[in-house]
Amino acid sequence: MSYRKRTTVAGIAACATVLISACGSSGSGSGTSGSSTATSASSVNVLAILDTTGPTKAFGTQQLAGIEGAAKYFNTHGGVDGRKINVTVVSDNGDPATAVNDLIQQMSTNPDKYAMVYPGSEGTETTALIPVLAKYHVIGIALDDGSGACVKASACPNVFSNAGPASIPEAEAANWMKQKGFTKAGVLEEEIDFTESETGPILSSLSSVGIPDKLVTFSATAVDVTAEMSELKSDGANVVFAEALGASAGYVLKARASLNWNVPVLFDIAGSALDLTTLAPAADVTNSYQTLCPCAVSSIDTPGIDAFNQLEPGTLGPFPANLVGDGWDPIVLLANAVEQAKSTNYQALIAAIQNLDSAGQNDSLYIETRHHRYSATDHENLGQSTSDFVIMPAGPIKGGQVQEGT
Amino acid sequence: MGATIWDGILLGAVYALVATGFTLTSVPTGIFNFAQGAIVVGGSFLAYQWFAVMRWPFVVGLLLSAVVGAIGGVLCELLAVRPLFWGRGTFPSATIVTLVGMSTAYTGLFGIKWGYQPLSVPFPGSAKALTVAGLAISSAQIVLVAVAVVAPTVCHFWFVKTRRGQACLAAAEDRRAATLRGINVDLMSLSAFAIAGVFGAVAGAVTGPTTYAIPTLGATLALGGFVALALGGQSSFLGGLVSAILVGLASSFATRYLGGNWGDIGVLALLIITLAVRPRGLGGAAEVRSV
Repeated sequence: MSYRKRTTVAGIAACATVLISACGSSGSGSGTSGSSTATSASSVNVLAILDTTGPTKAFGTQQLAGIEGAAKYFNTHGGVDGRKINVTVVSDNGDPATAVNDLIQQMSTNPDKYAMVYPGSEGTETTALIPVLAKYHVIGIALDDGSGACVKASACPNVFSNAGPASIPEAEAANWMKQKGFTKAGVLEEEIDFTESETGPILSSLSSVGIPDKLVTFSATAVDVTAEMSELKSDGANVVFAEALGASAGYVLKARASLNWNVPVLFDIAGSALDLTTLAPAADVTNSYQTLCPCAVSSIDTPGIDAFNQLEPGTLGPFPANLVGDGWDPIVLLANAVEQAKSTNYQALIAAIQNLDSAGQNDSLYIETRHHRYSATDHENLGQSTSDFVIMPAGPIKGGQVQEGT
Repeated sequence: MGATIWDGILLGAVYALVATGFTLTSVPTGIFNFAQGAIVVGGSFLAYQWFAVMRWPFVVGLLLSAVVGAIGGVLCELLAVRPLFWGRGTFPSATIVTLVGMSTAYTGLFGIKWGYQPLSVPFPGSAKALTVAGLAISSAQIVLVAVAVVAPTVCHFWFVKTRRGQACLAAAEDRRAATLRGINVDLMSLSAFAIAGVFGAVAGAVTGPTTYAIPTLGATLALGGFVALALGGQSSFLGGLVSAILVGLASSFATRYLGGNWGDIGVLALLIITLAVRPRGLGGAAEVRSV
C-alpha cells in the first residue's frame, strides 16, 4: 500500500473512531441537539435541559416524560391562561458544562423565547446553570438545587427548587427509626456528592431524636462493602441507614448477606431510586426499606399520577413515580404562576411564585411534592414536609409503584 | 480485619483480570489497550444478556461472548492502533489517545443497548456460600479470585516456556528485527488484541456477578488495572497479579481505617513509594543496554 493510500485509509479510520466515540458519548451526536417546537409568541415556551443521552438518561427520560406529560395535560385542558405550552428539549449528557453551553446557545439565539427553563436532571447541573439563568433573565424551576443553592434567594434570584431542604427526608428517616425502637444507627455513606450532602442532615436528625450513630464511609470505586458493614455490626448498630446510589445499593445488600446479619437497612432517596429486587436475590432484599414519595405507593391516591397515566399509558416503568414527578411538578407550578400572573413576564412570574395563592400552593395535580410555597428570601420549596416521604419495605417496582416487600 | 482483607482481595482480583488483559496486548505489541476495561464490562453485559435475558446454556453463552470479545479486540487494533503505524513516523504513544476513544465508544454503545442502571449478572454455579471466619463467601467470589490467580499464572508460563510465546516477546522487544526474522508482527498484533478481547469478555462474565454490569465501570477498571500494571512492572503477568491484590488491599485498608475518600489516595501512595524504591515495578526485569 502506498504512503498516500495508507494515509488516506488512516484518516478514514481515525474519523470513524472519532465518530464512534462521539456517537457513544452523547447518543444523539451532540449535546445540543434537540427538537424545537416552540416558536409562537402566544404560547408558553419551556426549555428542558436534561440528560436523555448520558449516564443519568434513565432518570432524565422519566423526567422528560413528566414535563411533556404535564404540557400535554394542560394543552388538552384549554392551555394555561389560554395559551399552549410548548417544550423544547436539549440533552446535556448529564454534564454541567454541556448544560451551561446548551443554555447559552439557546438564549443567545432566542433571548426572549422561553418563559421557563427546566435546568438539569440533577442538582449539579442546576447549580451550574443558576448564574447563566440570572444573566439571561429567565426563570428556572428545578427538581432540586444541589446542596441548598437556593436557600438564599439572593444567590438564586430566579430559580426555584421543587424539593425542600435536604434535611426533610433525613428527618423522616430518623423519626421512622425512633418509632421502630432502634437504639443505635449505623450510617453507611458512599463518597459521592449526592450522598455526602445527606450525611450532615441524617446525623443531626438522629441526634435530635436521641439515637446514637456510627458513620462509616466507602469509596465510589468499591465493589464490596463487607468490611464497612462489618464495622457497623461490631459497633452494635441495630439499623443501617445506607446512602448509596446504583450498584452500591446492591453491594450493601450483598455485604449484609455475607455477614449473615439480618439488620434492617433503610435506603436514602438515592438508594431508593431503583428497583432493589433487580440487584439482589429476594432473600437478601428482605428487611430493607426505601424512602419514597407517596406518589410511588399504590395505596395512596395521587391525582397527578392518574392524569399522567391517562395521557401516557405504560410510560411509568421500573422507576419510582417520583422521577416523573420531578419533571411534571415544575410545569404544574409554572402553569399556576402564569394563571396567577396572567403573564409570562420574567418579573411577574417571579413575583407570582414567591406569592403563590392557595390554588397554586395546594394544586392536587402535584405528584412528588404535594404543596409548593416559596418566599422572597428562600427559593427552596417551603411547602415540603416529612409527610412527602414514605418509608416502606423494598419490593419490585411496576408502573412506577413500589410493590410492598417484606 | 478479615472482612477488610477479603474486600481488598476481591477488588484486587477484578483489577488483576484487567491487568492480565493489558499485559496480553502489551507483551507482544508494547501497546496498552486502554479499552480493555470497557471490554471486560462488555463481557459482563453479554453474560447478563445470555444468562439473565435469553437464559442460554452457560457454555454457549461463554463461547459467544468469546467471539464478540475477539471482535471487540480486533476492532481496537484495526481502528485505533494499526492506522497510527502507517505513516512515515510511528507514534505508539498516540495509541493511548485512540484507545481511550475506543473505550468511550464502547461505553456509549453499552449505554445505548442496556442503559446506565446496574444490571445483575447471574452466576451459573452454586448459590451456596462458604462461611470463613464469620464471613459468607459466595461461589461467584471464589471463582473470581481463582480465575484472577490462575489466568496470569498460565499466561506467564506460556510466554516464558513456549516457542510462540518467546516469539511474541521478541516482537515486543524490536518490531523491525522481529519482522526481518520472519515473524508476522501485524498478525501477531491482531492476534494479541483478539486474545485479549476473548480474555476480557470471559473475565467480564466472572467479575459481573460481583460488580454488576454498569457501562461507566470500564474507566474505573482500566485505571485500577493500569495502576496494578505500573506497580507490578510492565509486561509481567505475575507482577500484575501481585500488585493488583496489593492495590485492592491498599484501597480497602485506607477506606476502612481512614475513610472512603482515602481509598484512591492510599493506592496512589503505594504506587509512588513502590516506583520510587523500585522504578521497574515489583515484577519488571532490569533492562540491560550496551553503550
